[in-house]
Amino acid sequence: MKNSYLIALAGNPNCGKTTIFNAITGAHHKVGNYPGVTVEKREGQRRYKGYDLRIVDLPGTYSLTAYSPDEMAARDFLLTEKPDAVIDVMDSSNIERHLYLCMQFRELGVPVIGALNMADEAEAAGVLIDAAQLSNLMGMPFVRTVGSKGRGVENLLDATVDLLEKLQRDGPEASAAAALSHRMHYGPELEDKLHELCTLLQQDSAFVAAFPVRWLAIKLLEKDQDAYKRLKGHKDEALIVPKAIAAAQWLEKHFGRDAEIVVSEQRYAFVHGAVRETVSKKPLLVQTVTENIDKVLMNRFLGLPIFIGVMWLVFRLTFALGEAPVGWLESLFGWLGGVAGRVIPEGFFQALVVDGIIGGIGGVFSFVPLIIILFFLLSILEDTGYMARVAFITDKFLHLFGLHGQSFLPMILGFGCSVPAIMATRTLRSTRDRIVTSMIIPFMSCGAKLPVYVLLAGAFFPQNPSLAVMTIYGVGVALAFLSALLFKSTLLRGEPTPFVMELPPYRAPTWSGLFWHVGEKTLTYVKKAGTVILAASVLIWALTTFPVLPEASVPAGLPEAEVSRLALEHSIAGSLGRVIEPLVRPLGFDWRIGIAVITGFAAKEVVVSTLGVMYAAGSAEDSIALTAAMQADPLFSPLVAFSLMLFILIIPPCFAALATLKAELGWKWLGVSVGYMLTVGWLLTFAVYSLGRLAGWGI
Amino acid sequence: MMLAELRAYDRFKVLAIHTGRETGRRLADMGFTKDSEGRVMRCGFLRGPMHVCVGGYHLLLRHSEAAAVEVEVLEFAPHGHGLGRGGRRGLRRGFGHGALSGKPGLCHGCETDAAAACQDSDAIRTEPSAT
Ligand SMILES: Nc1nc2c(ncn2[C@@H]2O[C@H](COP(=O)(O)OP(=O)(O)OP(=O)(O)O)[C@@H](O)[C@H]2O)c(=O)[nH]1
Ligand SMILES: [Mg+2]
Repeated sequence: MKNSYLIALAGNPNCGKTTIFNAITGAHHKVGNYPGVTVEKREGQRRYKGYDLRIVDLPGTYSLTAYSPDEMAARDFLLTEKPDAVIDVMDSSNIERHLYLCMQFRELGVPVIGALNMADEAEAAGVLIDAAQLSNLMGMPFVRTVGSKGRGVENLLDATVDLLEKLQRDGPEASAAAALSHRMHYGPELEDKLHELCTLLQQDSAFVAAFPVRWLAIKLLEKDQDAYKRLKGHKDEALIVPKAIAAAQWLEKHFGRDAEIVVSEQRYAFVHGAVRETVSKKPLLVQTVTENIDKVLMNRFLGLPIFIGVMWLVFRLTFALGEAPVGWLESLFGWLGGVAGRVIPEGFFQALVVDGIIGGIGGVFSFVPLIIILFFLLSILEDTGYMARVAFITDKFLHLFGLHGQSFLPMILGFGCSVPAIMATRTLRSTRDRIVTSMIIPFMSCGAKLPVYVLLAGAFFPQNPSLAVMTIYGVGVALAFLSALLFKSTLLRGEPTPFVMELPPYRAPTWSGLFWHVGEKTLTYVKKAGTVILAASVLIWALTTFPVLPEASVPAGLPEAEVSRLALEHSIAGSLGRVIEPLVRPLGFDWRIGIAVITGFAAKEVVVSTLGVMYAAGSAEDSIALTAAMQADPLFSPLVAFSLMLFILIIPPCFAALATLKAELGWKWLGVSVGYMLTVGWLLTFAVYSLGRLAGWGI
Repeated sequence: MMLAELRAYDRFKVLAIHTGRETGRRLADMGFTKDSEGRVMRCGFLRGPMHVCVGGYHLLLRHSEAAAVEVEVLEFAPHGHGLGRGGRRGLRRGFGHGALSGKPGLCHGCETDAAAACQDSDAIRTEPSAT
């Protein structure tokens, strides 16, 4: 008796698969109100009624003919891992297209349970589904659910377990017979051709065991490239391929349309019939809220200005709301440093704690409130459905740069963190688009670069720090677009790719979703501060302290600041710094900044902590003291600070982001990308610094 | 007529999709099937993407994709949007979806109707009266 099962959650994009997955397994994976949130499969466990259920959440697909990597991941999972059952999640307010996909799952020969999700929205829209009747017609169970409130999830599991038990009891033959009686009929012409192909395909028993034959025959008629590839394993491949091509051609002649369109029309015709018999809609003449909001937000003239205003507001709010808590944390760390200085006896250990640890991570920790607020605001944009509108608003503009509206979603996610943003490019269908978008995402300043900007802007543009930070963000966005244009007209030339995307209705963000999403990001940030950044700070402290400057070589009566400068130059970091100084000198930086920039590859916040440790030579244990120390340094000027912000913006991101680029695009494109960012970063910063000096800006 | 030639608030019925392969199948998978009814909700600035509602699904697509969808027009959006009907139709070829022609969003009658058409694509609604 089998008691552990593999169950896949599949269905159209944005119908609530991840919401249901979270409700079943208690996980908190990311949910968002736009198609393409989940881009790779996620596993979870649930023990239910004595069964071990392994639940897999798949990316959404519109059909089993996959074009983009996220869709391929879903299809390949269903084909190769052969789950014991599929829970097909559907949006009940309009199930027609969901049933169309459901038919395709059924053709794979896997048991399917239908989750009529978003039952609340359907009810509000006056849509009534006769679930019992639908079950009869389709020969599979249907359960009403409201994923976002966790309603109906137990029933869904009950139905799943019942179905699995029934299959277990009846044995494979009876189940196959039941499936056969509910199988969709494609009409005499198509069925004829299908029968022909199925007979041929069945000749190879190994092949029959590996693939659902009827499904493959349908795919062959649809001229699916992938199906033809899978045919390679068949012993009669040479015989079947021409037969299949001839059959498709015959159909095209007979129907006067492309074969894949004919197949989809037949499926829709069947589904349409089922919907007509089971779904009733109360004619509602009220105008939907969504349409009313869209009138304004998607207005052809107002759309773009509103979008720019929204992004501006996001950043303004981040600074305005974050200012006070950042101040509190700064004082807290200043106080901690003071206490540690008093409690711990003077010596290396005190220096390690005060300068290395508190000086290093204190500055980074102070910025946690900014990160929380930024992520919170971006999550609201994702959850309400506005992000999907942005694709409509910006498409025309992005088209000028060879991108399209859909590339813009990952780019905005890049304001949070490049790693998920680069992964989100999997929803793009064309490889070229995916490469270009991934390569320009690092120009969208991520949350980790924010502390660096805020520190520098606060110190050197005290009249209006947020303007300086927003200027840098703007430069990043402009660079992203120009780079896209450059790549699209040189390395990655090609036809524009089709743009078809679904628009979700507006939804109120759920508090728990926001909480978990923001909580997870915050935790990641804090964890990073406690591990990578802590380690880096201690390392930097050690490098800047040892070897210790011999007392004897210090002339008596030298001011303390001068002594610590000499000590720093004597250290390992000082020696290393001299090696790299020629590289960064033309940009207006000295070796300390050079070292800080290099340590930034571990994580961009480390730039702040390295500067903290370096300047701690005096007594900078928090960012207020660091600010003062930098202001006092004759090397720094507003121009140098701006050049540094620019340099940090453009040069390659942290290792984590680079590793993601490598994983998504491979070594070649990683190389192109890193080379490009280094070259452009250096040249542009050099140009700005030199011009600024000539013109006498902010020296 | 092709979908790309329609303007905001025009109602249509899909007749055929004239591109196979990727785009055609994608359109079919997303809801553009023979006989399904829909409405153009809006067109982006300067011939930006179209927002159409077909069979109750809201989709964004470019004019280049919409040019492959053959439709039968069920109902042109009523005139009274600044330029007269004749003038609007006349401008259609020359100016495309320029800002000059028509101002969708000002006529209250068709706003309500546009939303309703997407609620229930089967229902044939009465012509909204031209003001
Ligand atoms: N009103 C309502 N909203 C729901 C329900 N289930 C999910 N949602 C919302 O629908 C949106 C999409 O949910 P997801 O779980 O991300 O959908 P998904 O199917 O995983 O989407 P992809 O990963 O993009 O394919 C979110 O905003 C959810 O809060 C429901 O039953 N009722
Ligand atoms: Mg998901």
